[in-house]
Amino acid sequence: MRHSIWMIIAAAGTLALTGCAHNVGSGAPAAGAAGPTAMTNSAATEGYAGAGIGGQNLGNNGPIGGSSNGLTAAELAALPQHLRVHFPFNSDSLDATGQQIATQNAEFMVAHPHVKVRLEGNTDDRGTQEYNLALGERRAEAVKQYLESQGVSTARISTVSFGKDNPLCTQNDESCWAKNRRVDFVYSGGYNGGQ
Amino acid sequence: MVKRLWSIGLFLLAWTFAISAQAALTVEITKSVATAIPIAIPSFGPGVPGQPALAQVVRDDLARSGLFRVLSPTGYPSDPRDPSGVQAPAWANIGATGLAVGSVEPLNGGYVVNAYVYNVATGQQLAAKRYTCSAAELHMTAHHVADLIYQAFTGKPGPFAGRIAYVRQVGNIYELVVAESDGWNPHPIVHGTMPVFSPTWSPDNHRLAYVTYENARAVIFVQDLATGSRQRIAPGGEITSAPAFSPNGEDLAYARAYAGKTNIYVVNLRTGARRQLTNGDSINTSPTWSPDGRQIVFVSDRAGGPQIYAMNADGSNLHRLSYDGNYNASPSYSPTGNAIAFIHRTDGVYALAVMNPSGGDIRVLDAQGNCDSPSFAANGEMILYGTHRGGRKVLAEASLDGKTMEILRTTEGQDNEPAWSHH
Repeated sequence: MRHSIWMIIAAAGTLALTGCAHNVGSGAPAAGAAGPTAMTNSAATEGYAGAGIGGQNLGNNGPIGGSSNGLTAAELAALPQHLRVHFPFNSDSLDATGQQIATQNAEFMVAHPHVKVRLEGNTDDRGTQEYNLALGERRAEAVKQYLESQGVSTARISTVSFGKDNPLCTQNDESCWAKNRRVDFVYSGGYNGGQ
Repeated sequence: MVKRLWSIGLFLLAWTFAISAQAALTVEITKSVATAIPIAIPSFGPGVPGQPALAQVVRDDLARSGLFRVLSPTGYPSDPRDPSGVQAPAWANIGATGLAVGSVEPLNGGYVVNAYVYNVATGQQLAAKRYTCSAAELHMTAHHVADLIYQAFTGKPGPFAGRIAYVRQVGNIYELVVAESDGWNPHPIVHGTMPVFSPTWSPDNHRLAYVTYENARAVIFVQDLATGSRQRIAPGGEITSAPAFSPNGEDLAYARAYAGKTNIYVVNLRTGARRQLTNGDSINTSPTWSPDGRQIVFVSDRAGGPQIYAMNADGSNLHRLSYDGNYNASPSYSPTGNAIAFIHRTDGVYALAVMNPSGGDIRVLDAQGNCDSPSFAANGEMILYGTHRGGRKVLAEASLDGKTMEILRTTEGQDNEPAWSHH
């Protein structure tokens, strides 16, 4: 399912970029009426209006995570039980349980050649988002390489990261942090690229 | 509301000065050059009904800077609205070194604001200015008055009339908001159900770059504030994040993620020409430019965990700056070039800290809650950042010298990822 698209509200006319004092600042005030609370779409942003009002993705991969889609009945019936692997703090290594789950998912993909997977990397909410975005990407890549080592072709695997923006829980404790340090397997069907 | 627990202490200090002898007062005035300047700001009169009075906004700004000690209005000898009412000795008597008086007068649906700034010790008028504005702009005009006073006494431009951008989350709705430097008059410029992060101002303040998700991929947008139109920065459709404009506005440094690695690139915003600055298998992100545009400071975990590094703008002379602790990230180079703010994990807390440009002289400014996204005011004297209080994400401003820290006014929702505008 497509993620929501942005709706941008123009700031035209409602942001006076400088004060109106003599000798103060530089840069022309924005054209149009002043007024700090009225926000209207301008022609420049009309293309975005109306989109993104669809409801929140309620898939159990987190508030902005994807959910598997476009699978045949047979593929759905064969989906592995676990579509998620977890990681220790600041780590991108799969432990024994993680390898087991990843192997099951690799076997599923080998047995169902029309399925693609998007590996979504996530972190717990500590530290900075910029570093966490990169760490989630590294985790997703680690799972991708494991799937490849189990016979899944590269063309069927993509990786993304949400850093700490896609939490399954929001408590400030180790058990919630452990839940969030994960890579989710999001499957889609209809792949005909061969192998 | 803003918590100001220190105001009680300040009030007591003000009374102490009111009863001190003349000789002691002289010593105090000399000391005030190095310490906070005692200043009085009597009422300018009422402004917009239901909004804070202009003089109070000015007092709050100056107090938040850490460079002024605002004397409580209950001790003021009078409330002059123009120079004719100013008797310097009466103000010296209550311990003031500085005085700002003025008036707010309605005019044609808007206001005229007059402001006069005095050195009480010499009786000299340091500045006099008249502002005309709409009712909607009166709060911002108060910030200009605060900057006028700030510059009169410190010689440096004040930070208060700058704007801040930050991300507000309410439920599953994310907004990128532009507001005045104390959080007032917020305007959303992006709104939707996808997270937004890493906002950063172009040097002319006409654009904001930020990161959001499109088709589950992080991507940088550069948005024009006047028109709302925006440009995607994802050369080749790749995953991009951590944007940073060069000081001349021509280039954008950013982080590109691919095959599990994240490296720093620079793209020319006009030509699209791109060069790769870091290489290898580690994570390299969060670039920040030195004000002369010659250096880029960034985060790398090539040594095992996130640490702060510097390199020339062409990628040469790459060297490590941070050696204290095993998590140092989110660097932000001061616009005056004399400090780098960053996030320093200490005792399990992600604290706001500053270092000198060589990585030494580390000082922790706020370790009360996990902090992120430090951003300097244009004059390099204050830092805006995100932190946590009572389980909520809030914005705060701290003075560089560590003397003051204040949580910004918040309403519902979670506020974080702030960025202070330039000049």
